[in-house]
Amino acid sequence: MNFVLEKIKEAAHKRLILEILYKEKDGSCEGWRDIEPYSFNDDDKEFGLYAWDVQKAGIRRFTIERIIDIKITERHYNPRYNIEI
Amino acid sequence: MKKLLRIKKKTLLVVDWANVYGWKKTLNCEVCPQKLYNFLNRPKIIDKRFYFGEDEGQSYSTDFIKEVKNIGFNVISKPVKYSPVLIGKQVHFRKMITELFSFLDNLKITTSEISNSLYELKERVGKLPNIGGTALSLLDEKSLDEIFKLIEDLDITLKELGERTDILQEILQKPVYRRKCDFDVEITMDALNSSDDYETLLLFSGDGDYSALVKNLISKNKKVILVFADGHLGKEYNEMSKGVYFLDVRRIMHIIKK
Repeated sequence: MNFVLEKIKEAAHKRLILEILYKEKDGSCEGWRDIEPYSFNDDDKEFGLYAWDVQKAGIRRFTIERIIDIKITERHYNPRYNIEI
Repeated sequence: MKKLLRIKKKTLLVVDWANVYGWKKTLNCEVCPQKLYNFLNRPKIIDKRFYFGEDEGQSYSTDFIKEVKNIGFNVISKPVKYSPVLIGKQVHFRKMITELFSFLDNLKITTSEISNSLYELKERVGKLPNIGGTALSLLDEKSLDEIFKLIEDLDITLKELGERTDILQEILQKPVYRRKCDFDVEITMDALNSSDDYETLLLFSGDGDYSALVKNLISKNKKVILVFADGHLGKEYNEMSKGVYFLDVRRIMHIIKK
């Protein structure tokens, strides 16, 4: 989990798009997804990340524990929101 | 900067602009919609709703709506209504207006009486030289003219006062047009209808009319952040504390002021 958090923080700091493999609640996985990280959600039972899903063109909340794999790309993003990470 | 207003969960932002704009007299400055948007452009805010009454056909109003939409707010507007209001018919003012009219009527009678007395005085002074006597020898022609002039001036002033009193009474009897565009019903309905989509309501308005909405949301385990200006917080909130966080806008004014 620390590895994932470090990657998210680094990407947010550098304004770089992340690629994640994410396991849905039902156990399915859509493959690699491009996301722009914006904010952690530290107030719920499940520690989460608010990020812009590039393909789905919308803000999504990802549970950190369900991020199977993560990569920092070399693609920059222009923040749509205040970055709170 | 974010520590001043932490958004922890999914939040619906509601700006009742008529209220927020009204704060400027107290704050001696105005909230800037662009800076407000920049400050609250957070990923956890699912919708930024900006309620504003449109003065149809007025360019300042339509331009403002365009500007706020371009900033990124979700603008909800409706035409402003102008309702005729007769001050004398208003419950709060009825007694005061009745007394004012009574006073003005008495004032007109008094000025009329003073005017009559002046006329009489002028007549009497005019007859004095014809009577003859030692007292009259003290009054030369010039002094007499000055007395007549003074009486005439006083009479003119009294007539003007009477005319102004008539005009004032006419004005008070005419309706005044009150600008009216409350969004409390729309905001309450929108906030309740979408309450499944958010955990926190961030409401920019201290209007006590929203207290029922705030209570309802708290009963549903939602949180409410209520941003208000000093002197603009409804007394309905006096006893409320659990589930609602009151934020005096002065704490963030250095960030969002125009």
